[in-house]
Amino acid sequence: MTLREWWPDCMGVPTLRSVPTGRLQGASASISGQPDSLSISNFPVADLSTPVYGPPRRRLRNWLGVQNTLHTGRPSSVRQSPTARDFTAGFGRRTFGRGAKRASALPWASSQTPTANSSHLSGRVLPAEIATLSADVAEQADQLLHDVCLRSPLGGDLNRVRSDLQILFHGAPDIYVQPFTCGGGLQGLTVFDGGLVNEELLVLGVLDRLAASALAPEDGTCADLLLRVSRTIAPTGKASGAEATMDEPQPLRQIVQKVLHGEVVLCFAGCRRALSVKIQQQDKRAISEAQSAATVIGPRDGFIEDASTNLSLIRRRLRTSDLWVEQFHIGTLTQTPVLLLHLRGVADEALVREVRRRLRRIRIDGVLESNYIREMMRDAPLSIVPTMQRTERPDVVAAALLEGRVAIVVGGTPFALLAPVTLAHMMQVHADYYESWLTAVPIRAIRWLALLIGVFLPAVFVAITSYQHELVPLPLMTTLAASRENVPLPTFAEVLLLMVLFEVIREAGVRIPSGIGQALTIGGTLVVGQAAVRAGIVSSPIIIVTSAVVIAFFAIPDYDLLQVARFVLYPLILAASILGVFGLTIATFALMIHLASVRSFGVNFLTPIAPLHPRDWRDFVIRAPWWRMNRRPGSTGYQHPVRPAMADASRLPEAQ
Amino acid sequence: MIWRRLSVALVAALAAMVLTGCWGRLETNELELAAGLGVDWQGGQYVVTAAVFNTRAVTTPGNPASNPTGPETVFLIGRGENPGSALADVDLKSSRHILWATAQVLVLGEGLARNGIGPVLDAFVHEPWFRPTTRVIVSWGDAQNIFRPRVTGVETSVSRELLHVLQNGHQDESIGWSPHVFDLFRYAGEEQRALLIPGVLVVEPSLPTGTVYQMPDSAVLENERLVAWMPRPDVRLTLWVEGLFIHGTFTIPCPGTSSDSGAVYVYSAGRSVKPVFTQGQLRAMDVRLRGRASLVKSCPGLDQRQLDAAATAAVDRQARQAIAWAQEHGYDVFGWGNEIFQYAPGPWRRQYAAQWPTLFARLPVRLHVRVTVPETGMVRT
Repeated sequence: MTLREWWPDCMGVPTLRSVPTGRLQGASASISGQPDSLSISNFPVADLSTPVYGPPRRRLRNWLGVQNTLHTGRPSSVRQSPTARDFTAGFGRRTFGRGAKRASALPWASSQTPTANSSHLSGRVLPAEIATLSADVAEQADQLLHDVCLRSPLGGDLNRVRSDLQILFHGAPDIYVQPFTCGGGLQGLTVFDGGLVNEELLVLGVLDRLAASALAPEDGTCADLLLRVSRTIAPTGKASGAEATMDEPQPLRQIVQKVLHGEVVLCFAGCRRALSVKIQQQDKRAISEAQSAATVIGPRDGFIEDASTNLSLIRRRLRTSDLWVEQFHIGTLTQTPVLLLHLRGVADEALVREVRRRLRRIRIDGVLESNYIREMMRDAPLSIVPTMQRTERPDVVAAALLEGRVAIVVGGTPFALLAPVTLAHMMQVHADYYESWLTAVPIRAIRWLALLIGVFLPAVFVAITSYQHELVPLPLMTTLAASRENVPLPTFAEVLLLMVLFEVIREAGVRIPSGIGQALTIGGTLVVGQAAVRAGIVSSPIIIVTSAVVIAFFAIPDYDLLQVARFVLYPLILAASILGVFGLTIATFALMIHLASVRSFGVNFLTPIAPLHPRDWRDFVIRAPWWRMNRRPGSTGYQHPVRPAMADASRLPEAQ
Repeated sequence: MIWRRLSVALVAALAAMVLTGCWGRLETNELELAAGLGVDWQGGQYVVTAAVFNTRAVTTPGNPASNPTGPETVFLIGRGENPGSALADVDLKSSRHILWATAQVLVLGEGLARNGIGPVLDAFVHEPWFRPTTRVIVSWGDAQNIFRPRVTGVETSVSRELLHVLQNGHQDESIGWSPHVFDLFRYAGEEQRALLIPGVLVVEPSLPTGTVYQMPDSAVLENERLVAWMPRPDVRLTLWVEGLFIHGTFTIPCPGTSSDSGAVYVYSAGRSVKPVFTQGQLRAMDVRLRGRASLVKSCPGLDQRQLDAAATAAVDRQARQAIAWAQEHGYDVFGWGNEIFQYAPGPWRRQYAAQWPTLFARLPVRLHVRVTVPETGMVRT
């Protein structure tokens, strides 16, 4: 049996459409037994299907005489604002503020006295003259109703629960709130997100089993009932490989959260507790090679968008109970899972506390990528220097954890965050450690050279060809001078023009469909390269310089560092064009001072150069052999500097 | 606060951009590149001959916009009461700013050298555009004669032609070396040192294949004035004693024949020079020359040991000849006075400095030469 066979009239149909309209027109909600309980009774509510074209919110405040107390967009505003509570509780009954006179003129405000004990509203027809205003009020009331429903407890009345949930989900077409009946006559309600739930498991493992069971309404207490239900469906999850963790949510807010996280919530008539079943549909990308950090040698698995899968990839590399994982849900609307990882006993506890503190302080409505987290918790927020590293590779995360750094895995993105980070970290590549250190050393040195070329070559070229000509040997100077004959632009403008053009081409290349990417390449090459030289707009050495910079940038392993290098070179070019080598020196000093002043979670960005940590140089520009790297970096692993297993491994290994 | 800082930085950047012209920015196509420089002393005036590149005439591959016109090298001549005014006069002859820093060769005319090269060196010191790595040559006759030929050989400029002559053209017979400007300054600071500067002569100025230069005897300058020309065979042994010898070919006589001879090519040379003091008195200069050579032309009947002895004898003979020439003329081209000063500064000041030319001429020399020829290509039997 499929879901369509279970509910032939509802599948794929927005549930709000199936809600009795009278429920919406006479909306009510009540929360009792709580300190900040609310009560809404007998106030008219417009049909929610009516488009709302109301006056701005200020006009509504004037009408009602309420200032700064209406809906603020936050679900908790009603609870936090006593004025709003007064407003909602005494809606139509109390008037206050400067709008009291006008509010008293409203028929529903002055003559309608709400009855606090009524649980359902009787639908009323609004007077025509206040239709527009009532639409605004209805919008506010709808929001209020939404908030109230969120906080209302689960009741035993399934119709009521169904109505409340359908209000909460606002008729979302992918949310299913459907009744079912067990074999013994027990009525139930299932709530789930059709796109997140494994349909086959739901039908075969839950609904069919419940239908075949003998569960009856008179089967003991609610707790007993839930226990029997869980025993009925529990083997399903294990047998199918699904996550069979069950919980018992109480308020509707928790039910909503469970549903939005892909769980199936089961409510039963007469039972004020519900049951949730994790039978999430595994609609996730297969583990594939990291696009941003491809490798020739080494593991090829990369992170995906699923945080739990990413965590498992790290667990496979760090099989120790000292790998501590803390989970956060950040984003009031996205509730994005964020995992904080560190190796206990290796990472500095103060660092972990600081990261945890910053994570908890994040106030944001949505987190769609790890950069949201990074920008909200990074040091030096106005600096262009990235103070947290992003990586797509689980082996890089594992290596960072082994060095005493912390990792943050964010759901919905394959990029994890590492902190703290230094310039040396960003110039390291995983492949350095997967091949012989003798070959890794020159390759890493070349990478540093590429960074210097990418950042400084255009500025140096501008400086020496505009000011310090004596630095250029005569044969090269002859070629440079001859190539610039008839070129109208100064060298500075030439370099700037080509670099900007290249940035444009690169930006276009990122977004252009792959099918016409070749055309862009050809166009860029012809226009920027050949045609510009033939037309005498730029000289050919500038093309070489720009090409060298572009190629050098490709050798920078970290994407964020590459972005920094892309834009740092422009001030350097400007300084070189103004004062030559002298200006370039000043700009370089300014850059170095800034880099030396930036800290990432207490660690200087230029460590181990400034401050000087000579011991860490064995994994800086060079990469010492593994039998010499028996100590963790002093910047992060200072609490436990010696790798215990390698304490005696600092000598040349004996030949086998 | 940050906006204030940004505003200050922005204003400073804009001001600097506006004032850019004050810093003398010059594009490469606004320059005239000096390739070589000749200085003469004629009629009480300094005459500067500059060979500058005509960059419009240089074809750059891949740049059809360039339209080669005129000769690649242009010669500009300026005159003045001093070298600075002569250089300024050259500047006036050009439409562009002349970049002196690219001058690779400074050719000093014989007349100027005899009159004194001090003012020219001063101009190099005080003019920041000049590069101290410029090579220095003394011409036989006027320096203008060196630059006068309009036809160069395989090179694009006279200066480059001269440099290649210095480095490669006479490597088998001559020195392959010439001092930089800063060498002249360095030698001038040494104790009573005579300068040795290669001389150059134009042999065939107008051959279709280019100008033929020859490097005959080298100039010996004392107190910044040309005092003598050292014979070419003696120059390379002088350089060997100084530690500047690179490589060269030596002829060895073949036993039993008077006409036939062999040759060895010395490719590695070393030296050791030390003053010998006994009881506080300078007794002699101990000079040890070591070399390794390869056999270029063999002599019949010579075995390995005899070959080494013959090569050693050839070098020893020429070394003694060079030392004898220097002592005969009294020009300390080896820098032995400076060696003694460094070894024993006190005795040098008290006893030897005042009468060094005389002492140098009579100073006994203990010469030890050992040249081995390990690479003979001969099969031992």
